[in-house]
Amino acid sequence: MSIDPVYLRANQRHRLADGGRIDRDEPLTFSFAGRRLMGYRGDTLASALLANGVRIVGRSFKYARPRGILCAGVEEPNAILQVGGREETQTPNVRATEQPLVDGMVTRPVNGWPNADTDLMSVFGSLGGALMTPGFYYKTFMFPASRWETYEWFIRRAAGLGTSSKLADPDRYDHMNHHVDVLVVGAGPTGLAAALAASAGNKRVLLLDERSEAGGSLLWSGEAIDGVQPLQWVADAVARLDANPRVTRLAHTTVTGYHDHNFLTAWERRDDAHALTGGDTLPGTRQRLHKIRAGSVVLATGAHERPLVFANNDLPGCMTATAVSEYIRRYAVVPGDKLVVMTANDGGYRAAFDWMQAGREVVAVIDPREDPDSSIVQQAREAGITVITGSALVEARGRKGVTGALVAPINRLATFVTGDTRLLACDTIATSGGWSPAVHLSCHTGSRPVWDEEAIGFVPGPTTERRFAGGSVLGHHTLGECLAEGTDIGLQASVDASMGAVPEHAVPQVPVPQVMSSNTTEAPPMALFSVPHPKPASRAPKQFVDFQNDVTAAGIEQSTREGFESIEHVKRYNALGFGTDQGKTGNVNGMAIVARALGKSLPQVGTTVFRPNYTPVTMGAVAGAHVGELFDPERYTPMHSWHVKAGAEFENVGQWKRPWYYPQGNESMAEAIAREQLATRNGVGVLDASTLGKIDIRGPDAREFLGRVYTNAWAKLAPGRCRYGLMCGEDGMVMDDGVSACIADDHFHMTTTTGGAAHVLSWLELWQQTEWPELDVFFTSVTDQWATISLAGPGSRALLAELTDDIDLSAEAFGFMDFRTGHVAGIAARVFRISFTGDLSYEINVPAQHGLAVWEALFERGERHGLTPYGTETMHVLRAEKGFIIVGQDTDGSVTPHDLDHGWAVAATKPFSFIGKRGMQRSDCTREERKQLVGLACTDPNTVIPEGAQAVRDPGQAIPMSMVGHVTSSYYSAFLERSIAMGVIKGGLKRKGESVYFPLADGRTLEATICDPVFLDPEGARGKV
Amino acid sequence: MSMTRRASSLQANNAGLVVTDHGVSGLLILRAKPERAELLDAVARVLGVALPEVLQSATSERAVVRWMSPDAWLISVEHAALGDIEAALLQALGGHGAVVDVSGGYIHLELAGPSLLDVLKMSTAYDVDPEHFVPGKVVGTTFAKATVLMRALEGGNCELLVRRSLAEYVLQWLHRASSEVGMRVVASS
Repeated sequence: MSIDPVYLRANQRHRLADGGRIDRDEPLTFSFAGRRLMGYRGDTLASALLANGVRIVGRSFKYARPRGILCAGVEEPNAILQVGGREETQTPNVRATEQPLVDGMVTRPVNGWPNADTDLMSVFGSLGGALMTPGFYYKTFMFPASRWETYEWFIRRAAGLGTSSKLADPDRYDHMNHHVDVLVVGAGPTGLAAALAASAGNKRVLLLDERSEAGGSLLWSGEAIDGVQPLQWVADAVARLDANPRVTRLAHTTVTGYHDHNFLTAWERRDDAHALTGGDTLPGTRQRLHKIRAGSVVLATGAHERPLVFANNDLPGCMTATAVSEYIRRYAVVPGDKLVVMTANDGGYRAAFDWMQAGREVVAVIDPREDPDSSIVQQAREAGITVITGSALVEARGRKGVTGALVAPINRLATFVTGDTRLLACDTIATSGGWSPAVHLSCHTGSRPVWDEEAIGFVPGPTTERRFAGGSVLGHHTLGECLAEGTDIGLQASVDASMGAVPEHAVPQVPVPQVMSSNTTEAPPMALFSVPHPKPASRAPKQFVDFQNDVTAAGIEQSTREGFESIEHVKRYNALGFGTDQGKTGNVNGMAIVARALGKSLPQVGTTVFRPNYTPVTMGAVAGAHVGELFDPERYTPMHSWHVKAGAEFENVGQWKRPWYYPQGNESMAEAIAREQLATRNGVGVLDASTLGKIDIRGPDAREFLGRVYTNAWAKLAPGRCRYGLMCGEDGMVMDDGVSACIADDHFHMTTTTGGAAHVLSWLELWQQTEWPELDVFFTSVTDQWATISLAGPGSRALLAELTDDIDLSAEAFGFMDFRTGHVAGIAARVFRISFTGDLSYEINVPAQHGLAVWEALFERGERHGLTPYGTETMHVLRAEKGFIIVGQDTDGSVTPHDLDHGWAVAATKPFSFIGKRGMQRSDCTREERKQLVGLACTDPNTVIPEGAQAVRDPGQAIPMSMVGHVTSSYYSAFLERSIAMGVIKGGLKRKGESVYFPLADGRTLEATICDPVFLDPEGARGKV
Repeated sequence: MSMTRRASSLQANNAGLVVTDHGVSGLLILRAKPERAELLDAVARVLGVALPEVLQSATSERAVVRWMSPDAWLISVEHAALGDIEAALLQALGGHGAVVDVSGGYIHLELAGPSLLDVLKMSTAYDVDPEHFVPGKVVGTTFAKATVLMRALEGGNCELLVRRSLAEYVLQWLHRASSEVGMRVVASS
């Protein structure tokens, strides 16, 4: 694109003419709150906003105060924006300081109404500000409780941050697993040195950094290393690492969670551009979640600068000192014209020098230290900078941004103001209260950070993980220290990862990168957190501690007066550190204020607990590619494609897709089921039963084993015969059922319910492996091996006869519950004459690869016989007519075989006990009035009682009524031309003939007669023809 | 997988992932107690190779044998020889153990291509680094949300044995996991 350079410069009035790591040949446009702005490749959204002179980037959470950019990195509390070019790609709460600028990016503040520059809510904020104390919402909106939902609507509008789209996310996300010897977190000087050292020994090294390029603070500061400029050293180090095939280096990747056993998660932003700009969705992955299992972890996470707490410290134009330096040197952006620096350490002076070098005016440096004996202070004075020592910047002045700084002398302990204030005109205030090491990750596994007096900050505490830390995260901030420690821990981590298997001479020798030491003296930093004000905190203008949640020094002090002493309670009462920034800038200042208020030391107050995630991670990245059709695996039978072509509607049964019914033309579901049912009862129907669990059981003790896991007897089942079995848990409750066939004396074919297959197999293995290892028997899942075709109806024999010539299908030769092998449609098959419909029925099992061919062969011959495919819904009706149960529908884990009136399937006299025998003999299982399975005939034969309907004996009783059971299965039977139902009713087996009532939610009350659950052919004649 | 997607994957000539569908192999699951050494010896004579130890596979002229668990092995043989080998194995076990034909229960895929390692890292938590997942190694593991038996082959390829009912899901997953690099499906020659 070509943009007039004059126009670009005119727009970016805070951009320097040269310098910085931005590419002036690649200008980018973006929009903020509807304004079209310019930046360059290499900018972050924040640096581009500052370059364009945007001061207000949002309104604060509670008081709707104008807020500007405070920091330059992940710790930024204010500059969180709504980003996204289209409704479906809206991303809330994007930190502008971390977001690389993308051409065409569309951004706006997350709050502020009607806009961030003029926010009407701020009227409420400033008028009511004094009233909006900690716990304001709890205290104010308590009464009456019934109004809460009304209050909530207003509160949600007034407070809160960005909005998520309600549309489906069009982008792709995925996950990637890594196993490495050494994971290095952070690619600043410490991390780079560590990665170089760790990779010297042919170890698998992963180096992750959240920023767009490696280098950390070296990108904008630092001395020469090994005789080359810092940026050159970074480039060389990166080149060496990238050339090593054992090293993987990722930028834009934030380690967000540190879990037990050195398992870490990291969030990579890969290809955001289209989503942020409104362009087309790309085939690539927008974001990726990395799951890392590391031998050792090196934490080189650095530190975050603490802003000082003073009155009106949230005015746009107040920044951390490092941020000012970074914007000037890395992005060639000077955020203002006149700067006042307030620093409690030598480091803060850097901002003044950088500002001066950029050709802007440094009004003064305010240093609370009485007489700091430091080279840098000397240098500042020599450079003509006004240094005011023993004083503090007590208040910022201005309405929508800084216009002045109020400075006053303070006492040596910085607890009160000792003299008159004076006003310095300025538009930018840079403050440094010192550094808070980024200990967050080190705490995720439960390790508590420890206070380091020298570093004036919390540093990582002891851990049980193989974890190493070095550089700024330990409070060691000089470049020399960082490089030396990085090299050292990188080596240690790489040796440790091999668990001592490497002999000492094999440890590589890695030189420590050297920094030229200069003869400078440093003055110790002062532990200053909250600056005193001529007025007490409660009367002075607000002094912000946690910017994102509008937590003030006065609020924290008040909560200690209200009795909150534990830092965990103060945190929750004030919402300190509860924002999306997790209080990275405010937590330590807040703790210091609590300590002062309670008269305790900072380590006595302690820290709150840091938990994953370090920064917010999108739900898309968490879900990865496991969405949509890949959310849960779908299992298909070998005949699935036929069902799809036949227009079947499908039902989910576990992960299986089963044909539910096969509508023809404009048929309704009820019509389709009636047709399928009548066709099967009067002719022949076919069901795909391949999803049934199937287990091959083999071994000399197979028969004995079956006798122990089923409730009924198996000793006398002859080869070639089948038997229905009930399986119970140890509690005597029905767990599964199915038909098993005896293939040979030591070989059985067991079937289970579709959903219970995996559980039953592990149940069998569990008992064999742990309780009865002496039984010589093996179980093999053959669910996927066999396609199962269930042919049912009076016409099934004639149809099957056309497809087999080696199985005698006559009633005499192949009786009910017999099993035969032979060929069906030319394929070797196992045919079971078993029935789940009560009619003549054959279950044909063929190897799965032939399932579709045999199914199609049946239909080639079947037309003449009126062969009709039926689905699970018709299967349910057909079996319910016969009172056959479905485990999981008619049972719920509290039903014994006796409750089902299946006592015939319990062989109490087997020589060896069986699982569930003791359980079902417990007194509670044998008492009267248990819920028992019965048939329920609605007095209106055209009305189907809803499944789940609760039964009562007296519909006239007062609510709450005493319920005596519920309906488990209920259908309309087209064959019987009436509704049928089964249910469990208290004492139902002895109450046949009595009535129960079903008061429904719609006001109707249905009446049903308790009856036998076998509605069709109680003699069982139909199945035995 | 939708038909259009499959068509596009077939056209990807410079695919990062190449999936060869070997179709139905002769597959047997053999189960026997490892402490019955005489049975394992008899089985080894039938297969022409000793049963492999934990996480290993063994290859002979007749068979590829994969360790599945301490008392289970998955054996692939020529489909034509399946019946004879099944009978010989049963005889070798003398009734103590099981041999089950599962030829129809699995699909047999071979994965290859320049992006194979990344696709595997996106699909399984197992350490698939070639120095760890060395040729011949066999693991039963989760692959996306399916269970597979995965074997490292010479030359860096990877064999997947997937339950037949989950085959479509795994193919669909592979298509998704290779969406940035392209996927080509070829039938076994």
